[in-house]
Amino acid sequence: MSNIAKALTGVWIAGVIAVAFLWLPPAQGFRSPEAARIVVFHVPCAILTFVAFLLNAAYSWGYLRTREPLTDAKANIAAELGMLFAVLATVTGSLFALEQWGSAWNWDPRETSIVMLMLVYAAYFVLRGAVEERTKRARLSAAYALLAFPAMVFLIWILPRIVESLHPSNTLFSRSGLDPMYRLTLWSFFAGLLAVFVWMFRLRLRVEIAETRLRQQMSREPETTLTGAKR
Amino acid sequence: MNPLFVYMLTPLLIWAGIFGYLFWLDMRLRSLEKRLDEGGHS
Amino acid sequence: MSRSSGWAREAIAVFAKDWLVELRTRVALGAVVLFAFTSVVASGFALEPPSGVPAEVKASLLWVILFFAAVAGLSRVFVVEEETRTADALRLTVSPAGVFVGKLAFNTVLMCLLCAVTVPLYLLLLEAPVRHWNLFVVVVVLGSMALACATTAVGAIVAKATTRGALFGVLAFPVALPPLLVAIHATKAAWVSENGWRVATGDLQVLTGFMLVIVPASLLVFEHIWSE
Repeated sequence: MSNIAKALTGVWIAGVIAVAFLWLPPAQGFRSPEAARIVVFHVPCAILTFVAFLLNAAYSWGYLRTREPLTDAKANIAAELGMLFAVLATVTGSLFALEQWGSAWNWDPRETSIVMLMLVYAAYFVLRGAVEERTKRARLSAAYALLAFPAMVFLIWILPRIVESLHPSNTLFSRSGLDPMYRLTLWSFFAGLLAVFVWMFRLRLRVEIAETRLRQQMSREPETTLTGAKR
Repeated sequence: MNPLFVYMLTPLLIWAGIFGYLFWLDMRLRSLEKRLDEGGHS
Repeated sequence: MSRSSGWAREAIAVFAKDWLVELRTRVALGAVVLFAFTSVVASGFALEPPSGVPAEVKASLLWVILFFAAVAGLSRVFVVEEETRTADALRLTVSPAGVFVGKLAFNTVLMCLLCAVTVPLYLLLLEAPVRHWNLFVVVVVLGSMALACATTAVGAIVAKATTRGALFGVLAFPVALPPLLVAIHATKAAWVSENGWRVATGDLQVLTGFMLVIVPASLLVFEHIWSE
């Protein structure tokens, strides 16, 4: 990402935040119409969580096909970012739930499924910590990610059928669901957040590549890199 | 002052912090990559 | 002989060999059944008198016990191969699909045996009010099969890890959660609902569907877990 794109992202998100508070009207029909603005920030985080989860599964599949170490690194990064956005979505959702439904946690199906998603990520990281050898770790964690994927799809798909949800369904794309001004602000924020996601992803990948290069240099010429590290 | 304006400042400040941190990280990483490139060639 | 019957024969051979070993040592069976027995007795003590406990709580508790008992023993089939260093011999002689299906069958039978011992004891000690007996039996069989299907490949992953410890439970829970939730819901229906079959039909479909999805997915990735 060029510096111009980064600066644009910064201004864009700041602008959307300002718009969400100053231009967006309070949402009628909620218990506290002013607080409903948080939806604009909460929903994009939740969407990005699932995007990251899909990315993780896709990269895991890619790793098993190609056995390319960088693809494994990408799968791991997608899981890390997914965890981050899952936490953000849960915190913003909890705040709004406290305001709207009177309790921060209701075991709503969506709440349950995001907790389960976090559990999958946590298990994934535990597995990665439990295997020493690099290629083996990559192989096993990719296999686990692909096993957890259908389970999560099932969970997201069946849970709302069993338990009633407090969350509205089908508001994002249907014409009648969400106020057009809200929808516009929400997707604008999503665009900004997606840019941040891409930026973070590439930063993290560069760290991974730099680490690999450092390790290679260390194994090649131990003395020079040691003095280099001291500098 | 409009209370909404006050509430707006918190997310803006948080965002400024995140943005600044990411930018700083980007610069640090760039200098590390540069040093690695030099170390690789010599 | 065609290839498909080839792996089926291999699977039967693996299954028979694993049961022979199991009957000789009785490690997995002992761990699973004793774990379940201890938990049932412990919950019997804790929930005294059982008549005061809502049936919903009892239904959930039954599946929690079954899940953790499964965790105690279902990774055993793969761990034992790594511990006795017989995995390489198996890798050379049998195709991955044959190994997986054989181990899956072993775990499924193990789960069914576990249920055959635990569930009657649980019903007796906790005075569960079962309304629809045949529905309940179907739910238990399907649910335990789904648990075995969900966790067998995870057991293979755990056997390959360097530090096994409590890894299996941590990894198995997210994968086993969908069948667990559905089985709890269906068990409640079988115990308290007037028209249990109507309430539970969707659950039984979901359980079957889950198995039909997770077994091919496991087969797909098992090759990569198993081969070095």
